Amino acid sequence: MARPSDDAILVRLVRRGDREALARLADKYWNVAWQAAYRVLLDRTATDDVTQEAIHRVIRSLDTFDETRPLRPWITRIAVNCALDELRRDRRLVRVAEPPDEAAPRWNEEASDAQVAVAEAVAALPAEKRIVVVLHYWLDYAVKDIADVLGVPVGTVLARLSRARAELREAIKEEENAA
Amino acid sequence: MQPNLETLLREARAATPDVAPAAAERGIMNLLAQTEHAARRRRVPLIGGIALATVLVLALAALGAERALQDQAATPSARVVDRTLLCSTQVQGGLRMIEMVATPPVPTRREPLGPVPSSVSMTSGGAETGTWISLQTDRYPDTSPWTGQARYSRQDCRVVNAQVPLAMTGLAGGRAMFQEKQKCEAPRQVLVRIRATFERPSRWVAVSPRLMAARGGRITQGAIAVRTQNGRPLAFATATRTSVQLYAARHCWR
Repeated sequence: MARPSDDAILVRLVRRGDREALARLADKYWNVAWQAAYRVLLDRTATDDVTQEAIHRVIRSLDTFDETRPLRPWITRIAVNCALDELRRDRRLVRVAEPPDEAAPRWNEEASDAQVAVAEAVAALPAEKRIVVVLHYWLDYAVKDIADVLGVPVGTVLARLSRARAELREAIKEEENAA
Repeated sequence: MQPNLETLLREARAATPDVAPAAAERGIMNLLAQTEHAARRRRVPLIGGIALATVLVLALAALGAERALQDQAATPSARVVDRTLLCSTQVQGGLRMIEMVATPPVPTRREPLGPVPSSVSMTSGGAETGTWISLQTDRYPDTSPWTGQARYSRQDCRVVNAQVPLAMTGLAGGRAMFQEKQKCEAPRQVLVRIRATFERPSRWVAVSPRLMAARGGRITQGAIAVRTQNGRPLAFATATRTSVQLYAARHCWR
């Protein structure tokens, strides 16, 4: 019989009410959930709150988690769902044409200039296009999954992706010309 | 050859920043406090006793497993962790500065807060995203699963070989009041030495992308000393389980 993974052991301990295991699980996956939520929200404060909510939801749903499956993508999905809920609450998905917070998003200092430039271009997209790009390219969602999570037809997702790529191509070209 | 747009887009995910260590720590503590609170409301006394025993056994097993994993690593465990760091400082309110905070223990406080352990920290630029070095001698009941711990933000500090005496020479101060603060104007980088003596063997472990921590039971003695690279002392704080001392340069202010 296959040996249970470290995560499966951790999950079993948490289900039994082990606080030490709970702390280790939260410690191990906090940044995973935070990064997933940040990619959607681009707002540190909102992301901190959403991560808290997401990890709570993870802990509450552990009884339904299938231990044979990897934990990381499951937590990522929950964090993304919480982040999208937050956006919907703020009606940002339909009304904003700029990143949700007034301050410019912060990027990883270790990222290359090119990576930051592309990330900036993505952040500058209108929200409905930005979300599909983020879900598809940064969080590895399939087009069908994006359609499900956003509650829109697959064709709409494909159209938004196509338009977003065209805008990004333009933005990157402009950036290169300016440089 | 220029990579295509899809490749550029996928690679750009690397620009996502990490969570601020203080924010993660606070979130985890909130989570633990809330789950404990919920568990307490459900608990029946007899079952509670059995559950507590189970939790203790499982926690010990988990700790044992963690210890076994740690023992496999190259760095040996010892009761004393001692590291000298070169840390960047941040501008706050137009002034580049560090902030020392010292909290002596509050031994008896009714639940849910419980007794507050001794702690000392040095931050720069705010706890959210700035430079952060701290130690606490014992656990915060109902919030922290860890007993004593020493921590620092990895991205703002790097380990260096430098002499930083753990001494109050040239500084003024003494026994700290509750959450006593000293702010000092500081250069772009400062040398920080953090030393902690644990009850059990401990070692530095990267516990998250932004955080290094040493955890191993309670801390019997801990100290943080801060100097400029020219050797000018800025601050020094010590903590035992019963008292905390804080000393700062004369140009510092409360």
